Amino acid sequence: MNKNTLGMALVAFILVIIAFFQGGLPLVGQGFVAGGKTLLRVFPLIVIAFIVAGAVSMLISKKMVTRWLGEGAGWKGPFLGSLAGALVPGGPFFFYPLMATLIISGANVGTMISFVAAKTLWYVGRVPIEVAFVGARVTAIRFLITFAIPILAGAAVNVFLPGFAEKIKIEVEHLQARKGEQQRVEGEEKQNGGVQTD
Amino acid sequence: MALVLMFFTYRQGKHWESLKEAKKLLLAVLPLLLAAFVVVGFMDLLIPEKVLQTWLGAGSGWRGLIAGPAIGALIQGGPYAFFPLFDAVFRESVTTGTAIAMISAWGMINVGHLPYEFAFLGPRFVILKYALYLAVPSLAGLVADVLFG
Repeated sequence: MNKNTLGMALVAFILVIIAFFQGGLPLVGQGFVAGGKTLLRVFPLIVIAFIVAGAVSMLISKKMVTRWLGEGAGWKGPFLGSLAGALVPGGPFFFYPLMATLIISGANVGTMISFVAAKTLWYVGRVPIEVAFVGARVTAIRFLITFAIPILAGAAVNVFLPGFAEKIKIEVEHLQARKGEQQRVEGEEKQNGGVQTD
Repeated sequence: MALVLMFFTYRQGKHWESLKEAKKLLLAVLPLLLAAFVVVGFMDLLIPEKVLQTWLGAGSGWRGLIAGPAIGALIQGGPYAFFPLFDAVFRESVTTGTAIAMISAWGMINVGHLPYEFAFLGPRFVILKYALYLAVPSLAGLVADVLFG
């Protein structure tokens, strides 16, 4: 069970307690019924959302993304970065490390600024569930209004802030180097520990 | 959309694999999903409609465009927790603009992403990202209310 699930279960538990003190068992029952009803209503859409997510993860590979985003200055980088962001599946525990890897393998910081905005604004695997719970109209308006933002922001970084972008790149390289160093040290400690117990 | 994507996977001969992946993903989030829907059921019952109306409803004006994204940025748990919660608690009360601001903020400037951003991309990236995107959800909401409100 991951942290999100535990956190959510905890919130659920607290809410059940509050409901119990406000309206006794009947209100607790009502809460479960309301939640269950919502779940049943949207379950078919959730299944569709997962079919989409599964298909996207089969069609898009990390290698493909690296090849797309490896280089590309000016508009091309931010454009491809936004496109990749919209398609790459996975949560923050996956795509932030991916972004660090991409920067080290040559992607521009502006491209990554586009990528992260597109990933969090337009990710296609999320669309079915957004339409289901928010409605097609609001989802469409949201896409329309925010459509240009990832591309513009990334291009602006490439054009106006190349110096700052370079500093970010160096910082990312340091962070990754330090992580590699830590892993190496831990590995050596394990080895040494093994030797000592012999 | 699901059909189109399935067609592509079918052409690559990966349709079974892709459905298996879907099943794996679904089973992985199922506990979260169940907990989320319990939360959704109770939130709906426990949060007074009047409070929502005052802060996020049609009469809230600019307040909704600030409070909405602030709430959105704080909600954790990924899309399968956030969207049902939005539906149950906020959907009826908020304007189109506040809805768009809240959803955009939940994605773009979510506080839960900060540890990952600091760890993998460093403080300068965090500064740049927030300088560029902090106001975007509220502005997008404002534009939505003006054009489509």
